[in-house]
Amino acid sequence: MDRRQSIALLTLGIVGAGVGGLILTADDDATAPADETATSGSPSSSPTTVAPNVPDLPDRGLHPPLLANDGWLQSGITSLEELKGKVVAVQFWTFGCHNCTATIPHMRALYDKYDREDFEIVGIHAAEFEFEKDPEAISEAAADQGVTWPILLDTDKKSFRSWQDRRFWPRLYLLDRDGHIRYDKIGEGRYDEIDAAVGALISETSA
Amino acid sequence: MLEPFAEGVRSIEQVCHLVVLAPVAVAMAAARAHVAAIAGAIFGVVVGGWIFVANWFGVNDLQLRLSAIAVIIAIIALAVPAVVGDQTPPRVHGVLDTSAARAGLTAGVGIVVTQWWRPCVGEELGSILTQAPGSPIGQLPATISFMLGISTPLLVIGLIVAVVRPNDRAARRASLVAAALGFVLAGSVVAGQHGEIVARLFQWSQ
Repeated sequence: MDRRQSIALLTLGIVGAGVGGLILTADDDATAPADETATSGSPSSSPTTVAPNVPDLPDRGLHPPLLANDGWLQSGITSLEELKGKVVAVQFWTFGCHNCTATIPHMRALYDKYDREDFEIVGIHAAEFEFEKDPEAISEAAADQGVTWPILLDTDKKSFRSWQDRRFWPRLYLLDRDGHIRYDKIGEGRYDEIDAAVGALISETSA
Repeated sequence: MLEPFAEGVRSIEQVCHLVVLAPVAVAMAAARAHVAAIAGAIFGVVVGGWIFVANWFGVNDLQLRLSAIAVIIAIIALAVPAVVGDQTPPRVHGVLDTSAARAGLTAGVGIVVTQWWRPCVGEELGSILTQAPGSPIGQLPATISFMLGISTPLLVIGLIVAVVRPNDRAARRASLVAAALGFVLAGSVVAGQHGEIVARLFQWSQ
């Protein structure tokens, strides 16, 4: 083995150790919130441990309509208009999406924390793949993941496309009591910020 | 700036990034993992990632297919010096068998295929994607950091090749296989199978 190969091998070892370390760290991080969630279930428990900072909540206008859909699951409502007067978290998700399922424990904690008179979650299930389109599979996954809030079936992704200029899973919108979009978040994370935003919107009075 | 990089490295275990990494790795292999090809590939993925998060181009189906044709041409051009060797016309060989050509072509492949991406969106990438359309320059450092993270496998491939250092015959075969793989991959996109490929990758990972 010549000098160049030795340097490459050494670099490869360092890179490999770094990558392995980061992935193992991620696994540790991934298990921690799940353990916390398993013990937090009371309505008063906070989904975060960090002191919340309320983000900017600019008024982005009235939410787009929900387009022709394939029905609702776990729901007594048939439109977002019926939720006017409540702060609503609208989450685009699909049950097979790893990043979506990672947000569910937090969404569950939020759902437990706030009163139904003030706060509701609507999960818009926009299937990415064929196997995610079966309503029975969606119901089973929702039960497994602890999703108890209303689910809108958006099988053909009509609402998914009309709401988002760029289409990502998961995507969370917070609507104020007047149905205006006040917060938009793509992907996982920022749970303390989301919690603070919901709290701030609930404490606002309706226009 | 380390968090986006760390998330990028961690996310390489998620197959959704293979939509970007597989064609770029194939292009690199077609170019016999030459240093210029590795640098070009990583540069292309980083620049392409920035273009993607800034949302400057919404790629429609026709553009997707046309870009796949461009990728096929680039991969063939990268493989020609290795596969055809001395049989290549001198003028063509003189252009293609250069570091500039390898770097340029692999960078081009990286930029193009990053627009095919359907990313798994974690916390850092989510923040970048949420903020980048309004502030593409402000999100540039975080984007570079994340894209360098997911480019780690490309660096690893390059290092492995540098350690193994295959002989000419093995390198030629690898280049030929890579070109064939690239043809199949990009050809599937030309045929309108992009969504199907993403779905298959996803199901294989379950």
